[in-house]
Amino acid sequence: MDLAIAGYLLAFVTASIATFLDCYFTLAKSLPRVPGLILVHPGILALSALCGGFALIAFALTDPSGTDVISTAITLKQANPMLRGLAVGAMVLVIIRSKLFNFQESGLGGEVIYTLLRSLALQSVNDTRTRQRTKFLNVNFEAAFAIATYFSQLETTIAASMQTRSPELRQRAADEVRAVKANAPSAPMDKTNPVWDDFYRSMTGICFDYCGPAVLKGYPGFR
Amino acid sequence: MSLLPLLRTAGALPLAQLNMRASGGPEEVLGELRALVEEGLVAVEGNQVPETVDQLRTGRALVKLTRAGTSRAFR
Repeated sequence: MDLAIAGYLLAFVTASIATFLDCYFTLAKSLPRVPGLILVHPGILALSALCGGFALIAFALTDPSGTDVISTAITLKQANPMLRGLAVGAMVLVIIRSKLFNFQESGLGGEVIYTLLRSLALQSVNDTRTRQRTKFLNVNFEAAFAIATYFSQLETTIAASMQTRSPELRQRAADEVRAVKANAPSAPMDKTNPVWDDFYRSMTGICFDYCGPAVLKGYPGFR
Repeated sequence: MSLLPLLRTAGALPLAQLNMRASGGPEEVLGELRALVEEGLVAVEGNQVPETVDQLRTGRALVKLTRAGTSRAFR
């Protein structure tokens, strides 16, 4: 393969991976569980591809022997096209978000645009996550109410699954469980009672959000 | 108590479930929710922002982070 084409390819792939990882770690530092769906989420993939495209342009326009600030910063003065592709791909996100891409001294520039696009992508991930949880809760509604001890089992499952998590996360999950239990309906378990419906969705929702749906798949009738 | 971390974890929640999962009494939850809506950080589906605790307890409208709220929550 032509070394220049390999350089372009490396620039695109490296920048795309760097952008994907930025989105992943932004979610990971705030969420108890990063949903696997981000691997195929169109919003995240589109943002990664956009930054990859930006890296392609940067690769084409910068000169490794150039002395201007952007060329030096992006190419790290690498003459080898493959190494330059790697350097451009790795640096492009830093450059987009730096003050070099600001309009004059306005503070408006690459960082603002990138953060805006990333927020839109993360918002879209959140929407997908919500739809998945609602679907899971709907599909397993009957099965949950068919288990007489479902809610006590669920509490044990959440506690066991959270054992290996950070103390802060364990505390957050425990606080939510406690808050929901404080609102537990006093009437006997009844799937037609709207308060029991909310109780089921809240407790199972906590399990879904903190532990993931997989831990519930062992419950009879759950899918 | 803050609803932002809860909505960050859950993505979006119907009003009744938001009330159930939030620590603090329903009056507190209602007050904070209305403040977040005014700040533009949170939106209620169909703009059905509850005015009373009863509307909060039984509401089915979805509460979600706005784009500004998402930026704040995932900084």
